[in-house]
Amino acid sequence: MLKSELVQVSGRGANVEFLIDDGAAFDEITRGLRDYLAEHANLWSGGSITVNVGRRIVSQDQLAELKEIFERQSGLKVARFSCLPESLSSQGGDTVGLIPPDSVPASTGVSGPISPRREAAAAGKSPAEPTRTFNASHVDQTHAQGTVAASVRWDTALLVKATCRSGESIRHDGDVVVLGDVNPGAEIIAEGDIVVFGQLRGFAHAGSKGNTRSAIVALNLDSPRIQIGPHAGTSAQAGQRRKGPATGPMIAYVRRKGIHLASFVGRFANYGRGEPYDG
Amino acid sequence: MTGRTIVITSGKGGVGKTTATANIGSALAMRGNKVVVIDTDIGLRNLDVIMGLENRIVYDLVNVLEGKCEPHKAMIRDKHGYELYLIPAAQTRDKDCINPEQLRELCAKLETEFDYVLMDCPAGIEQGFKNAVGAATEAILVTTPEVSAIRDADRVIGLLEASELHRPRLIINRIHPDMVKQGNMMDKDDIVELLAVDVLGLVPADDRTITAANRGVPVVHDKKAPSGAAFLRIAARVDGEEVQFAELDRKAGMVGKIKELLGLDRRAYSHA
Repeated sequence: MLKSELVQVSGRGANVEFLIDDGAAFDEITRGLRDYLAEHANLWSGGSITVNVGRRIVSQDQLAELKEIFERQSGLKVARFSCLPESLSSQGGDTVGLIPPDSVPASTGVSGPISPRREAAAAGKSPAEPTRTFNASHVDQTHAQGTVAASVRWDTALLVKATCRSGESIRHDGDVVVLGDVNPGAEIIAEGDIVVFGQLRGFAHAGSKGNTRSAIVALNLDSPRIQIGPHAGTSAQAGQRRKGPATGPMIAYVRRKGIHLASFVGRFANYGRGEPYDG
Repeated sequence: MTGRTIVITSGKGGVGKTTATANIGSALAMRGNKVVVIDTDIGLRNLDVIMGLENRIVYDLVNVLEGKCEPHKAMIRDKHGYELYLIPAAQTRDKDCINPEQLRELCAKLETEFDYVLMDCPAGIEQGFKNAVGAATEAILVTTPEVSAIRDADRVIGLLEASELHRPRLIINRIHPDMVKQGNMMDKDDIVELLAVDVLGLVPADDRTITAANRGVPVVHDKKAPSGAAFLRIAARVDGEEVQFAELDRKAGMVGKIKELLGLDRRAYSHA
């Protein structure tokens, strides 16, 4: 395979992204990446980049390896990793430091402009240009994330097209939509709402930064423990298999400092008669 | 020859990984394949006991990986005359003394010579698991119809996917058909609904499995054992043959008896 197919570089303004092929074996990638960086050694002199791993499911060790290759073989600094949302997954119980595209940087460093050598003199002096430019295009907004990491991103939902399995942890600073089941032992922690098009049997925490107006919606809400903002609800009956028709879509919301459950009739409907979710 | 390296894993201990490895290995060999089974459970070796080869061990897996002997020297041929070989685990060492790369290298070498390289994975998801899974190109997952075993299987599927072993196939072991009928045990559909993977086979709970293991003769050699028949069907599916899923109920009625006499029941597959 050509090395150029393994690694693709794209730039949008000051945001330079290395896209790593997600079909090839990982050791092939590391080899290809080393070759690529060695070949183009004179092209880069410094600056920060984004590494996009595509659909590949990577472990923390592999991320560290990629970062090391970049930072050792070129003067580039890996400011963030990104991936396609459906691959958001984890290994070994830790949340992998992956973010969906256009989300928060993996490290705290604000990404500076990349500097091909001919511009090195100019760019090198100002590695981190001021980035609070919300009025500009979407790209600029992405670029500015480093300084506003704490704010909720209401404009992006994370779409997970996979079964969330035991031990997997998905964290996102906006809404999370899962097309699949959330199995026992998996956890979803979102600053916004959580919507599960499937069975919710694992732990879900909506409004993780304290927003009690967040809600959890699932086609079958059968979790032993859910949380919205600071309020937790437990159900002793959850997890016991119920033969017969499913309950239908349910919504969990906060009312009088407790979590209540009602049949789902729309996200912004007026729910007042739900049942308390406490076993 | 390009063989297939398959890891047999479960997460939870005691669900029948070693039994499954011994039986699938034996059944594949009975079908005329050249098979090597590797016990990667270093420090807690069992596969040699189940296969009845315990007292023939001279060299082990760690000796091979450390380059102290050739793979062929460590291989013990099965007693039944088939092309089935065992590379036993070391009992006096631990899992940290080998790594996935060494094991992958060995498997690659064996793949050129054997049709199947089966690895018996240790329980847990630590180094021993990583060694075996890192060396494999396919995975078979064993579980029992118990909530705890299924929870662990779910976790393991996630980890297998992270190691680029997609679509592991599931064996549900130790099913009690009577209990399933009464609604006291999860049935195949419940488990598949949760785990969302393909089923490779269903193995009924069978006292003969235990007797066979104690005698050191895998249960596939016992023509009367329903579990042995199940493992033969599983091996046929691993080999790429389409085999119907048999009903696990005991055919006690007249029809069942007649079918049995005519060789129409599940045992018919043992000749497939």
